[in-house]
Amino acid sequence: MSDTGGLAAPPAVTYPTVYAPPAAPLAGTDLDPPLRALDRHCRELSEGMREAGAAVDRDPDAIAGLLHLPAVGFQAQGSLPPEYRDTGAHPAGPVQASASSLGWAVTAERLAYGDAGVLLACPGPSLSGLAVEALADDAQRTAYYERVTSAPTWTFFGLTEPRKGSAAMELETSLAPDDDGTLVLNGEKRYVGTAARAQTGVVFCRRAPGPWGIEAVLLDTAQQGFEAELLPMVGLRGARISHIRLTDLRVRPEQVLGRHRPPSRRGLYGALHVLYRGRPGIAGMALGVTQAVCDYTAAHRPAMPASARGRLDGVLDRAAALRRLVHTVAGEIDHGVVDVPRIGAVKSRAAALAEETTLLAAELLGPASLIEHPWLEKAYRDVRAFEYMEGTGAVHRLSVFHGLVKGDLLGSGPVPEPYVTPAGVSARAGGRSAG
Amino acid sequence: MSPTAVPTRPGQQADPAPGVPPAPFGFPRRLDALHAQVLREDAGGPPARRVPSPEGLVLLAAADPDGSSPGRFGLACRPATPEELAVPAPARAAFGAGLLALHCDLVEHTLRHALDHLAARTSGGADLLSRQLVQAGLADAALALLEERAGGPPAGQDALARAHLRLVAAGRTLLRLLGASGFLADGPGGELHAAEIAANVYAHPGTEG
Repeated sequence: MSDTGGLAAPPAVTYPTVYAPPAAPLAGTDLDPPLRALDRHCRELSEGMREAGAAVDRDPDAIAGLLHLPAVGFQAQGSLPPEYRDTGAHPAGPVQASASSLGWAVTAERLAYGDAGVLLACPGPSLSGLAVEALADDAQRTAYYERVTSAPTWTFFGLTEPRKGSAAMELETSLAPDDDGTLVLNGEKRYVGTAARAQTGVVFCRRAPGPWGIEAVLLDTAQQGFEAELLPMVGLRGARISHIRLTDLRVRPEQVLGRHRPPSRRGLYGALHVLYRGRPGIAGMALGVTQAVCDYTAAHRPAMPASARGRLDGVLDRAAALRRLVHTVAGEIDHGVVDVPRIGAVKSRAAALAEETTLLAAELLGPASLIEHPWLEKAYRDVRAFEYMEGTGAVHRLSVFHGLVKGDLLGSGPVPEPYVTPAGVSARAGGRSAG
Repeated sequence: MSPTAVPTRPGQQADPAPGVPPAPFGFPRRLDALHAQVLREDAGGPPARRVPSPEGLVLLAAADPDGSSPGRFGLACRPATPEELAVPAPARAAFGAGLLALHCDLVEHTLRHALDHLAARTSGGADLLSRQLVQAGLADAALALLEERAGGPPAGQDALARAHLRLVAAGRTLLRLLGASGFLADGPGGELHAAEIAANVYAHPGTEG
C-alpha cells in the first residue's frame, strides 16, 4: 500500500471559484454573542481550506505541510484544557467558545464549508481527548496533554472492529495478563481515523465478560505490537481511515484509562460518552458541506430556472431546520442531557441531506459536471463518509424507533435515566438521559 | 427490532472475513469492452475508438493499472476525436442501453456481495442479515433492480438518465448497508462511484438530443 492509501492520486487541480461563505449567522442559527463571534472567526479561518483540501485529497499526508494554516491550529485549541492552549496564536474568546459541544458544532460547520477533509486531518486530541477527559486520572491527563501540545501530534480513537463495527458492547480486542502478569493487548481495529499516522491514541478492548469488562487503553503507536496502515477510501481522504493490528502489545497499568474509577464508569462509559458527543460535530460538518455545495451550485449556474432554484432552496430550508436541531442537541449535551435518539437522528439526517445535495448539484450543473467541477466531484465523494461516521444511518434509525416507542423522541419524555445501565447497555438504543 | 432467521443461501461462504474486498466487478474494463462491442472493435486490446457522450466527451478505462494514470477509480476522460464524434446515433443508443445494463449488473454484483458480507457480520448475537432493517434495505435494492431490468430499453436520453438515477439510489442503499466498507475505493464503493461518473457523463438528465 502506498503512502497515499493505495488510491491513484488525481492530477493537481485548482478550483476556479470565488470563495464566499455566507456572512454570519447562517439560517437556523440562534447563537449568543460569544458563539456568533466564534462563527465569524471560523468563517474567516476557512479561507484557503479549499486549496488545502485539494492537496489533502491528492495526498492525505500533505497536511504535514499545511500546519501553518490558522484553521489547522485553531480547531484543536478548544479541545485542550485552558492551561494547555496556545494563547499567543489564537484569540481567547473564540477558543473558549469552541470548547463546548455547541461551539464545536459551529466550528465544524464553518471549517467543513472550507474543507472537511482538512479538518479531520488536523493534529490534536480529537475524540481521544474526549475519552481522556471522561476517564483519565490526573497523572494520565497531564501526560496526555503534555504529549499532544509538545509538538503537532495526531491521535486516534480505536473502537470499530472488522467483525463488530462500532458496537461497543461486543468488541473482541482482548486485554489479558500473560504468564508474568503483564497485560497484553491483541486484536484488530478497522476504519479508525488517522491511526496509521498517529503518535498516540485510545483503544477499547475487553478485559472481562460483560459490559463492565471493557477497558480503554492509551497507547503510544511506537510500542511494539502496534501496526497500522491506511485504507484506500473513496473520499474524505484527510480522515486517513486506517486498519490497526495489535499483536501481543504489552500494556502498563498506567496506560489503562480510568484505573481509579469503578468499572461502570470506565471503558464502556467512556466509549459511549465520546460517541454521543462526536455526533453533533459530524452533523455540523455535513451541514457545512451542504451549504458549500448549494453556494457553489448557485455561483456556477446563476441563471437557474425557477424549478431548479426551488429544489436548491428546498435543501437550504432543510439545512436551516437541521442546523437548529444540531444546535439544540449540542446545547443539551453542554447542559448534561444526552438525548441519544435525537442526537443520532440529527446526525443521520444531516449526513443524508449532504449526500442528496451533492447528487442534486451534479444534476443541476449539467452533463459531465463530475468531470468539469473537480471540487464538486470531491464533495460528492467526501459527504458519503458522514453516513457511517459515529454510527450508520441504520443504527440511528433503530435508535429513533426505540425513542419513539419510549415516547420521548418528540418531546416531554419520561424521567431521565442513566444511559449506561447494568441491565441493558446499548450504544444504540438509549433514551433521553443524563450524560 | 428482533432478528429474523435467514436460511443459508446456496453457494454462500461459510465465514468470509469482513473487510476483505470482494472480487472486483471490473467496471472500467467492462466499459471499454462495451465501447468495443458497440463499435465492433472487439478484436482484442483497447478499442481504437470510443462512443462519445452527448457533450463530446469520452470516458474510458484508465490504461495504466498501477495507479500512475491520470484517472481515478479506473477511469479516464478525454474529448472525443473527430472520428468518434461521427459515431452514428444507433451506435450511441446501443451504447446507452449497454451502459444501463452494465450499471444494473454492477448493482446486482454489489447486492450479492452485501448478502455475503452482512451474513458474516454479527451484532447482538445474530448476523446482520437477520435484522429486519437490513433485510428491508436489501429488498429495496433488489426490487429496484428487478423493476429496472423489466423496463426494457429507455426511450430517449431523459428516460435513460432517470433509470441511472434510480440505480444510483439503489447502489447507495447497498453502500449504506455496507457501512465503512462501502467507502473503500477498492471495493463496491469505488466501482459504483465509477458507474455514477459514467452516468453523469453519458446519461445526464436534460441532455435530450
